[in-house]
Amino acid sequence: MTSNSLTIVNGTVVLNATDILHRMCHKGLSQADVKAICKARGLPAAAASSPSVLESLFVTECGLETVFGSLEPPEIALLHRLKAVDKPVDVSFFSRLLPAGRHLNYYGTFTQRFQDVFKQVKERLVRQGVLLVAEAPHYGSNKTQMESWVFWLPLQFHAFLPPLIAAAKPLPGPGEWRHDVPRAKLGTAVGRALPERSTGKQAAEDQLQIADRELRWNGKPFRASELINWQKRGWQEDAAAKKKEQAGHQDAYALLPVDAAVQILGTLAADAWVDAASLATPLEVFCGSPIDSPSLCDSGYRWGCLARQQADGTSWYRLAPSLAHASLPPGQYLDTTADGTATVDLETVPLAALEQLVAISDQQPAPSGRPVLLLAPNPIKLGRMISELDALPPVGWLEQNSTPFREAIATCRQRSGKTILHENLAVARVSDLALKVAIEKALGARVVSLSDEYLAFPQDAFADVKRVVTKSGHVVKEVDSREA
Amino acid sequence: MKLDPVDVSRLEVVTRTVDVRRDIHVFVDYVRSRDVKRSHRGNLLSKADAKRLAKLMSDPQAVEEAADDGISGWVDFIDDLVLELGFVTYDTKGEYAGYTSSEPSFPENYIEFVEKTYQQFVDLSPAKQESVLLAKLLSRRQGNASEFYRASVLGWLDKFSTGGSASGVMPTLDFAAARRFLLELLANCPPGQWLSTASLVEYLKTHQRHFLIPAKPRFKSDYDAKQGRYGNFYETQERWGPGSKVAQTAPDAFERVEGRYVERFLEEIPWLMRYVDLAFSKQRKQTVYPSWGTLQAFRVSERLSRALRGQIAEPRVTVTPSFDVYIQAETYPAKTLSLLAPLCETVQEDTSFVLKVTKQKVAAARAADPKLDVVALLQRLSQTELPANVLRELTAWSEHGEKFVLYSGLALLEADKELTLNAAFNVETIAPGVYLVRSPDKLFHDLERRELVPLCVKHPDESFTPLPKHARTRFARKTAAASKPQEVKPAVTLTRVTRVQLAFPSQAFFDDLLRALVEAKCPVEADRAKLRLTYSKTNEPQVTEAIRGLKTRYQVKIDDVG
Repeated sequence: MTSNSLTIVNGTVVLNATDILHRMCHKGLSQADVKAICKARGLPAAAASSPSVLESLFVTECGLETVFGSLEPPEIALLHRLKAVDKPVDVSFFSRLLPAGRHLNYYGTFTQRFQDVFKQVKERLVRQGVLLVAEAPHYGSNKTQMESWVFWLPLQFHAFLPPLIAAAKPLPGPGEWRHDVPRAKLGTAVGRALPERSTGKQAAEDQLQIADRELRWNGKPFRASELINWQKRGWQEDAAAKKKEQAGHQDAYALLPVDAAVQILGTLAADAWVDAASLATPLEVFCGSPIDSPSLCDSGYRWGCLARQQADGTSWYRLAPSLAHASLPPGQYLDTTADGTATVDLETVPLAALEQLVAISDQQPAPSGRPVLLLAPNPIKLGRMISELDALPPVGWLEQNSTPFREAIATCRQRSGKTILHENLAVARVSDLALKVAIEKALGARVVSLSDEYLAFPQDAFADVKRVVTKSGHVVKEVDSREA
Repeated sequence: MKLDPVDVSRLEVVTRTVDVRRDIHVFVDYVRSRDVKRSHRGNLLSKADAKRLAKLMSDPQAVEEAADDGISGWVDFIDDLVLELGFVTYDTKGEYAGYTSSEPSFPENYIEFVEKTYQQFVDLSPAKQESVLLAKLLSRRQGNASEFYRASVLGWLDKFSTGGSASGVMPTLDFAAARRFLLELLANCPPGQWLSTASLVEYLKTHQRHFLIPAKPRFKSDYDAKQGRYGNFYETQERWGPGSKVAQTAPDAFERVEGRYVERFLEEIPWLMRYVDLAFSKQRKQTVYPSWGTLQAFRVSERLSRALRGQIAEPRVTVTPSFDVYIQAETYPAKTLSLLAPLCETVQEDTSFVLKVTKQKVAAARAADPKLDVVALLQRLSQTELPANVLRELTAWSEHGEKFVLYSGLALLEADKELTLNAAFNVETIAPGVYLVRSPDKLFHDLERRELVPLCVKHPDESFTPLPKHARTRFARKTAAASKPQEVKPAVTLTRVTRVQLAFPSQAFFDDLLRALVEAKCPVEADRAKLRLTYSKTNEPQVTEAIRGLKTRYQVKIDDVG
């Protein structure tokens, strides 16, 4: 059951789920623990008397529904967080399970600090049969036993976890969301000012500009992910400013409020929405400290990261639709001017399509001052993207509607495949015909004849080539590139 | 000088085949080709290195000694000598690890090869090499490290006790001069003739009484002066026990001190350098310690006088029509061998050396050094003209080094044959449109700048990357069957577990069967709420047996519903 090869990090053996289950059933649990698990999960008495039977029965669905139904919302949230962590955690992960009014002793030893937490997690989760626990062996480290305990939620239980937010509500329609926020940021590339009222000051490191006829984010070619991260950073800074202090990060497993909100809202069903109050508990568990969820949701909405909908006198939230992968026909954001120059509308272009256009063309602002970029084909960029051109939605439209693009793409396609630079090949000059034939015969398809005297073969084939050369009474003369 | 001849038929003539001239080169070759770390404690060679060196060296006893003790006297001697000659260097002082350390430690003490000094030695003429080596041997081991007290690496004779050897006359003696004087004396003896050691001592007593200890020694103190010229030398009746000082006035005092030294000198440098052969008394029983008169005869070799006169000849090299190379040399021909080693295989290495010039080696040497003129080298070493067939073949073999030339660190460019390529990139135009190029990254940018839509293919080590279908290339394209790399399919072993589920009509039968299965230690999953038992197909016999056991109380029928 245990794996043969051990991975050891800082003197401690890294256990996988199978190892933890085996260790738990065979030596990690007391008889009282086993009986409690069997009772909670409704496992047969045979499981209580045989570790092997317990090991096989523990990861079945038996009794899970009942046990999960008996857990408190913070416990469910914690299990969701553990599911997202997707690796064994130590007892400090469960520190937020402490009952209200009891706090960690931050000045004690590890054992002193987490003794109560360990008791709590054992009582509420291990003895309920929802959590794997085992003591990870350690060599040459001075870890205490308390530090050696590792916990894991079995993969088989993930599907049975109750929803993270029970109060989620199905609402029709996409709601409202601030797609103007990223669009406004895009507009700064053509000289438009960023409206300060909604999104604060533009950080110096978040510069979107056209330089050397290319749309660049902080000096690098535009990437849709950078704009989305900018929104999240703005949301995070906004939330932190309102709280006056940085939330979370009190332990290694705590998330930033924005990351926690994205992770929690990401678990919602397609039409489900959640109000700010329902987010409070999971946010506290995910972040390790109480979070002002209404304020966080409001900031998220204002930064265009969350969609909002009003119902029953309450604001309901979910993640805003992705602007990066919006499917829009190229004709709705691409156009041509009277002289045939292609243009792209920054108000409507999906971010992924804009990224593709940056990768194949030169850009410059339209003289009209509108949020439009003029596009000119860049043969070098087109050459780099030649194998992917057919898969890029804007390219088909440009080929049909823009003469410069049509001609440039045709030229690139015509030239493609005619200039090939091969690296990491072994090239040899063989001036003895019999030797050349012997090498070709020995290597078969692994050798390419370049001319009467020259051969190319993969680097690893050199050993075989050398064998043939030596056998035929010749020697290998090596010429380094510095000598050549 | 006339010494008495001796019939050695009643004596034990000892022959040892060690060759100090060869073994210093063996040692150097060994340490220059690998990292040799000396022991942290003691600064000795490791047992593994000592054993390997013992196998390579000329002393047949060294292998056994190294295997038993982890060190051999001969390997140790060569180790010291090579260091003193300056061919290698390493820390000999060490460092004290702490206040309580009684001896220094030698952490990470690696032997470093000193190429310049060694090469200077190798480049010397054989006569000069002999002179340097002899001078080093003569000048080392003075005072209480001299032949009186320290055992010879090859010798048999026992030594005086070192007690009091740092005082008295001993520190004032010039052993180097005495040794050289004795060697000069030996060089005047008729070579090849067994001569009496006693007559040599007698000659010295008569004519050179103060060759070792001056007539009026310059003592460092009055106390030393009071001890007299023989104050350092004590004889005992037992191997271990209180001794009595050799009396200066005794008629045989010279024989008992200088005579003993002559015996011990003979079995040290002259024997080591093969300048003499020695014959010992077969009588092993001693009545006095250290022994006296045990080394009874010696025979001087002609090599001694030639060595002292700088007449050691250059090695003679002869190349035969069968490509054999014979080297006749009085000393180990290190330089000649180092020149010939890249061209020849060793056939025999004994009193003379036989090598064989091979086509493979000659071609390889030419490949490694295109400027190497093999014919000129052999003609320079050989005093005679090379045989005609050897001359012809060597010329042909030299060209073999150019038959296969591998270019490393270069890239290959396939392009239009009309392409004009910058000379900074182009190493060689292999064929029209195929170029061997350097600096591929810069070249790629250059090709991009020229809007040629270049494709850069980085092939994996083991195969060719298939190129796009439309590529104009000599390499295989994606559509060609040959271009498909031989995929190594990962081996996957699936474990199939067939689960059987039994649905029960009543709680009573469910509990009875579950109890029976638990008693039989059969692993099952039980769902009490739904009255279902699930088990692996492999446990089917146990379940069947348990059901059979309940047939006395129940009529059991199983309906398979698929």
